[in-house]
Amino acid sequence: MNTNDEIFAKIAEKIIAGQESIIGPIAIEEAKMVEGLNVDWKEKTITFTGNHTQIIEKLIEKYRDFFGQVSVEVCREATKKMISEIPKDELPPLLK
Amino acid sequence: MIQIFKKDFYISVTFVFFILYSLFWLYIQTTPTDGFLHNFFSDTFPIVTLWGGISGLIIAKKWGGFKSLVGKAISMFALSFLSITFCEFTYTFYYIYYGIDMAYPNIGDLGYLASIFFYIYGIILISQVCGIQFKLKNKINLLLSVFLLLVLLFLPYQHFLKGYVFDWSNPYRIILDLGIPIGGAVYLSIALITYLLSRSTLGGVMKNKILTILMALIFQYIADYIYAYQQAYENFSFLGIQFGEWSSGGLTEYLYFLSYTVVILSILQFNLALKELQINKQ
Repeated sequence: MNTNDEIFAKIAEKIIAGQESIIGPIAIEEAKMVEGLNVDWKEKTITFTGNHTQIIEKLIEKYRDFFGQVSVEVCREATKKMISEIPKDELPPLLK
Repeated sequence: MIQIFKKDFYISVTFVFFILYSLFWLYIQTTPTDGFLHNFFSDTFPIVTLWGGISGLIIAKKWGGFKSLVGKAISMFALSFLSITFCEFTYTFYYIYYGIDMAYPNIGDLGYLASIFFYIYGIILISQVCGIQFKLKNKINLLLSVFLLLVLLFLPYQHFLKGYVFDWSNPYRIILDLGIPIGGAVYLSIALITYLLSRSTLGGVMKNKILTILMALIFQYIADYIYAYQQAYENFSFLGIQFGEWSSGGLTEYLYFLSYTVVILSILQFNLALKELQINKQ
């Protein structure tokens, strides 16, 4: 896995962990349903099949279905320390 | 509405109980107020809070129990229902075993006080789920929230605590006399602040369920207030309804039963939410 993969994997992990702290195990189930996102939560292993940016965007949209914009705010809060590591043109719109 | 009750076992059982007991209450209004049927209603309606407590804990586990905000919030409300059950059944015990009616204060009231603190913690957790912590970073929102809390604390002070005489020979009574109205004002203010600050950002499938909880708590507070007002002032009128002296199986007690049922139903819909999410997956 290259550095970019690792950063996005870490971001996905933070988002899922943040949502898990709010809605419990449903957060993991929802993450596993995101196309292109491969989640092994026991091993804390996350890999991507496809465009990282679009997959993270879909993940956040999944959680937005629960509580609306509030869920997006939680995702932003969980990832704010890592945002600077992503090139601006690769940053998912919902995390801006 | 009927579809909702068909979809969920816990809600269905609660609703059936509510209908049966409401019809029973209507019937007993034609019987003497100090009769067996009135006391039977009074002694047994807390079965709904017992059911709400047990169901709530089962549903909380599905949401992660104490490991998640939602699971913890549901657990707190469930524990509140169980505390209310303890309070109500203790009063029944005092009446049946000692022949004392309305034995305030007694250890059962500790259960009622605990239920309020569980409500407070539960609504704090709900407010965190709604993202209030982000909104309160704005100083204007923070000031308005404090102002609302003070306004709502003023009401019970004005009606029940102004001129209150502290009898330090009975500190337990002081804790109850102050804790119950103040605690009620606190959970109500948090519920209102949560509603006001989150309505622009709260969305998704959970939005209406959260709003239902907030509305249910407001209704619960009104029932609490009417009871306390009735204890302090006896005969009064509210929204055109005449409230006389409190009696077992009377209107105030039915209001309590109704308010508990509404709060319980608002919490049990979290199980319905899980089913809706599963349907969405398919």
